[in-house]
Amino acid sequence: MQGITSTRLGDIYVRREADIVKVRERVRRLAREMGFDATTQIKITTAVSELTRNIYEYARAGAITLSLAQRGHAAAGLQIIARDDGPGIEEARLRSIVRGSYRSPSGLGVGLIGTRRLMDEFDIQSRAGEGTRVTVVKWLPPTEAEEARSRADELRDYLATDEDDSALEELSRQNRDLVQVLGELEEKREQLEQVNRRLEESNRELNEANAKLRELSAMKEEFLALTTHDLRSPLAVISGVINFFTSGRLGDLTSEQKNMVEMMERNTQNLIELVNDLLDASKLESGTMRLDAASIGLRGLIEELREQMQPLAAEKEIALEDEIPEELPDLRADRAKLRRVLVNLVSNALKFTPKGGRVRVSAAREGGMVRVSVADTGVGIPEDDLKDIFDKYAQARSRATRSEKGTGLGLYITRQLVELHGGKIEVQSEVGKGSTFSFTIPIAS
Amino acid sequence: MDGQQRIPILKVGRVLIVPIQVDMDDQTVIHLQERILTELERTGARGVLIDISLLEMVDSFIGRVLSDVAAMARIMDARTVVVGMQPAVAITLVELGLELRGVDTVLNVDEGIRLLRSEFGIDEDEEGAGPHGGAFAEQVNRP
Repeated sequence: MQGITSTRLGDIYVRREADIVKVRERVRRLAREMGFDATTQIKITTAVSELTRNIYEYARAGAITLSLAQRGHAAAGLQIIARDDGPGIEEARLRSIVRGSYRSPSGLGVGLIGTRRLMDEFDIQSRAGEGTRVTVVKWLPPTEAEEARSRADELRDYLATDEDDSALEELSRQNRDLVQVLGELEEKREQLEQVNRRLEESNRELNEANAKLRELSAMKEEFLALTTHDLRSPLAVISGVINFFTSGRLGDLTSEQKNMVEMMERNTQNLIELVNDLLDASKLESGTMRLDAASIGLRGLIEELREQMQPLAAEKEIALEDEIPEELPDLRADRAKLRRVLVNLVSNALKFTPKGGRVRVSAAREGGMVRVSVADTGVGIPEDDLKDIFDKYAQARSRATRSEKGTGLGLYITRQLVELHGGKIEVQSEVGKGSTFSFTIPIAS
Repeated sequence: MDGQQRIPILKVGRVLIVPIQVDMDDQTVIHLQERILTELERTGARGVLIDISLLEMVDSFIGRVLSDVAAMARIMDARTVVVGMQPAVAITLVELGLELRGVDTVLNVDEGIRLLRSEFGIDEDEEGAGPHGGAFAEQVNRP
């Protein structure tokens, strides 16, 4: 502000809302002490209240500096500088404030404009991001000015006697802040500890639940193994008895009796397969399945398989083909289990291939492995079902095959057996065109 | 620090009297506004009389809250009267450019009570109604 010299009388920091009241009180008393009349005291107090509130609202913290202003030889007044390091005011808005045309969108738009009207001098300096500094001055009437000019020291002392405006007060205030922050920290730490305790507790509960689950799972496996074992013995007896009938050792059967016995035989066979599947699955699950690995020729195995599956293929008029290269090396595998894998895949292929179709078994060397493929011209598998087709009981979940007999354990066991050999199984399929299951088995070294 | 000053709220008949005797910090002002509304609901009072004769400064914030109280009270079917504004405060308010929108102002508590009474047609059978809370409150507790 031009032509004005100022003598600093004191600072008041603005840190909290209550400081607004303190500033008002302090400024009011200083104004009275300087000799302003009652109405002007109130005007100054109101103006400083607006300025202080702006500091608190927009910048959270700042300071009010009170000075004795002098101009020329006679004039004296109270200068108040309100400054903060807040977000500042952008230029366009600042200009409209200076022109007096600004309306605050938040309040009644009176803060700065009103302050300007209440005071004699008004200056604002602000840049977006660099804080704001508002300087206002109220001049004393000439009768009081002269005395005020000579009282700068006295006025400074007057302000300083306000005990809590000193540097000491500022220190002790910061101290209080610190204590408060420490308290908050302590509180946070306690909360953290509490959360930690709760986490530990739920962790323990989880562990317990986990252990319980494992126990239950083991019990289930054990139960499955026991029951299937117990089921197998009577089934073997029934199967033996049926053999007596079919072998003719109990005399000739009438054609109706023969039909019935055949039905019994078929169903018993299904049951035995089912029980075997369950038993295998539970062995695989519990990790007690052992491989009895030997060097095996695939051709012989396929021949055997062909003999076994031919009747079923013939019944459905399906061409069962195979293509095993002469030079194919022997495989290292558990013969019974590899056979099981092939039986599962081929019988699946036959099951899902309509009359007149084709099922083809082929093999080819692939590095240290041999890839065996079973391709059919069957119904194919929808893409949705492909991803979990090797999962346990997948068949039960799939709509497409639910009507077919079987536990859905077949492919699960197949995959487990292939993987037990160190191989991999995969499937490609197109609905309506057919599926190709292929797996790898290591060659005998 | 942030401790709130208590401003009393007295119920006299169907009027709430709020004598403000100290410079209030913002929290106290906001809290007072809430308490006035709560009391209005609790007591079913029809008028609010805010005595600011001892208040030496009304800035834009307090002015806005006074306007707000009046508007909110009106929605709750009560009328607000601000009494006893000091001339210097009035001058400052005008220079500040603040209108106490929706707030009726009268010179003193007597006038205020009279205004509110005439508004609701309450019998004016009390005598010597003074501006000081305690005695007053007892006095008008008759129906």
